[in-house]
Amino acid sequence: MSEDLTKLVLESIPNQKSANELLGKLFDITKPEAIYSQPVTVGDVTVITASEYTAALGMGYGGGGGTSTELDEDETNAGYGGGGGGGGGTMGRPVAAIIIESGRARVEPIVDVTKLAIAFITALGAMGLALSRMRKFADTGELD
Amino acid sequence: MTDFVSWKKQAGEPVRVNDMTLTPQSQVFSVRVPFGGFVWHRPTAVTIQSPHQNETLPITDPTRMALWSLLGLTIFINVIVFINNLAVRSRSEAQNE
Repeated sequence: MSEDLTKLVLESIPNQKSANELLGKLFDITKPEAIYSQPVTVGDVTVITASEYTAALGMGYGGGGGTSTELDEDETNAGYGGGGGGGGGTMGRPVAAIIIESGRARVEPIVDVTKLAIAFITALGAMGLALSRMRKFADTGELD
Repeated sequence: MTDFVSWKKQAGEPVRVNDMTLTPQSQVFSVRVPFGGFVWHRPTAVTIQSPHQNETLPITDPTRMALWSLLGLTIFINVIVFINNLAVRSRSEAQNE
């Protein structure tokens, strides 16, 4: 049994190492260079984009084993198993463009119209739903 | 504590464009736990140094400001309507009695 567990632990070490390396890569985006692009020059104009990044990552692994003499009292049956899983997501969005032109630099904000439109429609829907429920509450005194 | 949760402002490596030096600045919030992590990283400003310009230009995010304003407005309107409905309900109950 202890051999099985040792095998399980040894087998899981590379997976844990890979998971920790992946987690380390998540924190690479904490460097300022990760959110500012390299300068791109077209003619006399140079542009650097500045973006916002959000990233989240979670993982877990486990294992275990056991012995049994239920089937055969003379022989001990042993079993072990393990596994792991993880998930995550990232979101990036350009926030501003730094424009260098005629020897001067300026910052132009970038507005995400699509995101704002989706948020506005969602807010309107939520307000409409809340209004209809509250009107019902005012009429009947019940929320459901 | 600082290893698990971190909220800091930082300056990056200066970038040279012709005779201009730009130093990017950013703010990062990170949570690091043994089984995962979370990072929010946003640009805050850029410092310009050149013979014609020496200043720090702030980087504002109008999308984020608009989203928070929208959220605030939604909560405010809902609270007002809820209070108004409570008043209407209690008034109608008083009239019925």
